[in-house]
Amino acid sequence: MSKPSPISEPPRPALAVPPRPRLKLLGSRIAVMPSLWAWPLILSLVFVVGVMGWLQAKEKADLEGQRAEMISDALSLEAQVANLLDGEVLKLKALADVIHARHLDAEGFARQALVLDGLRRFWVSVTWLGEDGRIVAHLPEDTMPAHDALRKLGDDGGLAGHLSVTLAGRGDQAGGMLVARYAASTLLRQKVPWWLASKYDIRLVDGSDEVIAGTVEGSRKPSQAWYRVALGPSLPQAWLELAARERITPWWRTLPMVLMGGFVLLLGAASAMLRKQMGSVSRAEEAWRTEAAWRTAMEDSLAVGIRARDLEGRLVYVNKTMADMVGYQPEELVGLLPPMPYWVPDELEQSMSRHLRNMAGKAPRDGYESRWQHRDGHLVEVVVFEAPLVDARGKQIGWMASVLNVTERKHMEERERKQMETMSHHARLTMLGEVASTLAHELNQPLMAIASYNAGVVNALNKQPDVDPQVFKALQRMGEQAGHAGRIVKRIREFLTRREPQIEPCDLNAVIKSALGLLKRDIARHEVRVDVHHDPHLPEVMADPVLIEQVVVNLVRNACDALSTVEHERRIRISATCVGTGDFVRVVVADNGPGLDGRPIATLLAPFYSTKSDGMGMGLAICRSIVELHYGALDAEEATGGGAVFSFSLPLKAVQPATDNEEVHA
Amino acid sequence: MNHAALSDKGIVYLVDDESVVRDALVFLLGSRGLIVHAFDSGPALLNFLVDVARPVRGVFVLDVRMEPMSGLQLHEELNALGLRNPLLFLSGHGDIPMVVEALKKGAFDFLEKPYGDNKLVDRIEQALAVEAASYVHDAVVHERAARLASLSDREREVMKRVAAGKLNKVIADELHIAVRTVEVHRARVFAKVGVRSAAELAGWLAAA
Repeated sequence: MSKPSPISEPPRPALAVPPRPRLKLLGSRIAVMPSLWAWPLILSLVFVVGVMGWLQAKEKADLEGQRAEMISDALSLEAQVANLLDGEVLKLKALADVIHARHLDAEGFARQALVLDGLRRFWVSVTWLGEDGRIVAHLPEDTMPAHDALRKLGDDGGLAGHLSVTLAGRGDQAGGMLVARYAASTLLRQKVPWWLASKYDIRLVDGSDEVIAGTVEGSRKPSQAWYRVALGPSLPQAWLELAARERITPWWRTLPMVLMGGFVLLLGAASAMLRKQMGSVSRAEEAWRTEAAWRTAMEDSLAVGIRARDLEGRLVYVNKTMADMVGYQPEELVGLLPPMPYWVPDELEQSMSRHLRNMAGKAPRDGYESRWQHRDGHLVEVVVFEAPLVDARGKQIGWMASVLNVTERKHMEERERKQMETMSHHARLTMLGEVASTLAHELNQPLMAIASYNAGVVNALNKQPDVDPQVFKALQRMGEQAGHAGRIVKRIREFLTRREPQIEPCDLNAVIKSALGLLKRDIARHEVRVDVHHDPHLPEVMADPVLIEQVVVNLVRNACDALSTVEHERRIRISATCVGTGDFVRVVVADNGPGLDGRPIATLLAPFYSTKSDGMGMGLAICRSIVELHYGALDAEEATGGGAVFSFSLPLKAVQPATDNEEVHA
Repeated sequence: MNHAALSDKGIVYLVDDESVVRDALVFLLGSRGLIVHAFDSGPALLNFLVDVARPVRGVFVLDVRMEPMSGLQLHEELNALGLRNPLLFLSGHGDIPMVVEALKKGAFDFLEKPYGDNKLVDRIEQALAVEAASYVHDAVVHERAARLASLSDREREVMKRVAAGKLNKVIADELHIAVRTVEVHRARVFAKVGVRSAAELAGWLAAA
């Protein structure tokens, strides 16, 4: 099976296709098919937007959490730093107490365990300033002189901070000061736990945002989340700053978003493909619907009924023509099993046997005639052509029949047959009449002679004396019998020629047309071309159309018969024209056949003369009788170019029909 | 006059193409003392009449159905020749419509076949009688016409006045001719018309 392209458009005129079924939704009709492809895309996009919203919300929550954690970390770190510094101040105080209590000098100060311990632990340097402000002792020594101290400290670990306690004076004098320096970086190094340092960039910054010390080099990146807390009195003008090392990835850069992006891309591609596919499906559907509409239109428009049956004989399809033929709706018929509702009730048995024959596959190839009954009761004559219904694999699945309604044709044939019958009946009657007339004429001659001789003999004998009265009587009887015979002949003739001509105004053109209509078959059978010359101004003649038609029929039929013997093109020319001074209408039937062969008209017209083997020889005699009945004349002659010309003329002048025989006899 | 006509019995001109009928009718009519001229066709009769070249006495009896010239056609031809003799048709039953038409055209009667009896002969004799009567009448009329035709114009004028009973002198005055001339004309008129007196002349003219 060849695979037809579903959307190829055959070159056909446009036709109306029934509308596509629509989905009813909330009172409105939606064309489902074209938008169907977009639904997955729309749903997926909603899902994606949902995911995005969720991501955004999650990011926000993360940021909040991170900030809270950072604040608490910063505060606890600040507390620890403050703690440390406080502790160092206490230790420095303890040193100051030791100095005061033991009256340490510079050397003793240098060997003091507290000092050594402090330097080892935290202090960068410790300086004992006398009450006059001079340095009493400074450890470690290599950090001297004091002027460089700040700078050196700065080199060694960023900015340095210092702790100072006042020494108790002796007596009333002020006791001087102890100043311990420490490196801010050391402070951070010592106090910041590793997990905190891995989590945050921790810096000490001053009031002008300068970094004093930090766990990492450089300043805070702008994108980092940060928090500052003032270190307070222990390290005034300095802030502890925590900047989160771990940056919260913005929601649009998260992995789910990437996956979503990929998903949307794939979905877009899939939707495009789906749309294309839907488009082609839609077009295919459109084409299919057009095709179906065409099929329905064609099947319903057919003048031939179509009927499909399955192998059981169940009607599976009828077209509209078929249904109309019997007056049902197609839906009413489909699915029915025999006996069908359109079978003629009186002929159910025949119909069933015919059905069984058809089902057995024995239906005549060239169709069979059947008779059905329309729903309203009138009979429908049909010709049915059965053929096996075969599927694509060649397997028979049922029976297909085309049904022709021939009721009209049948009626016409019937009418034609009846007309022919009437005509031939007329012809028979006319012929019988003509036979009788001819017989009468032929018998009249001898009867006339007998009667005349008889009367003559009687007259002659009357003049002679002594004639035997018996002879007279015999002669008289003879005369009477001759008269009797004459009357018998007359009666028979009258009986057989009872039909009286119905004289009426008659259009010879119409008569010729009607005659040719009757002879259609003869003309076709003999393959004769008939040319009719119509004179549109032909006046009407007073005549009996039926009889004149018979004359024309006879003449044309004779011409056809004559032409059947020739091989060349057969032609008959018929004309009706006014002749003479307009007193007569002449109807001519000319053929190009063998002609009259020198036979005079008298011979042709003689009763029982025929050139045809099966002819009775009455045709032309009847024609002449009819024509003469109309006071016309029948004539025959050779055509100039070969063939015969028969003609008859009828007077135009309305002649009083002399049909009333009784009156004449009276 | 009647006697003279009967003694001068007309002839029956019979035309029938059937020799059987023709011979039988000749025999029948002959048995009644009629003179019959029989012809076997219309043209034969016409030829005969042309040869005779003068009006014939008698009646025509024509068969209706003949070939090549039918009785009706022959009737027309005879009319064309100016022959007004009574004409009878021999007709079969089928020819009746035609015969009726022929009767309208002046035929005397029709004789129905096959009834060849004395009634038929009687009918022919009646026709002959009619013909004879019309012949005599015709003869008088012809003679009168011939005599009138023989007069000159002047003689006719004179005749009218003589018949009116006018005197020769009055006539001469009226016609502006001499009385002697009137007398000559008067004598010629009397001679040509065949009368001997003015009264006779008046009677002759009145009989017309």
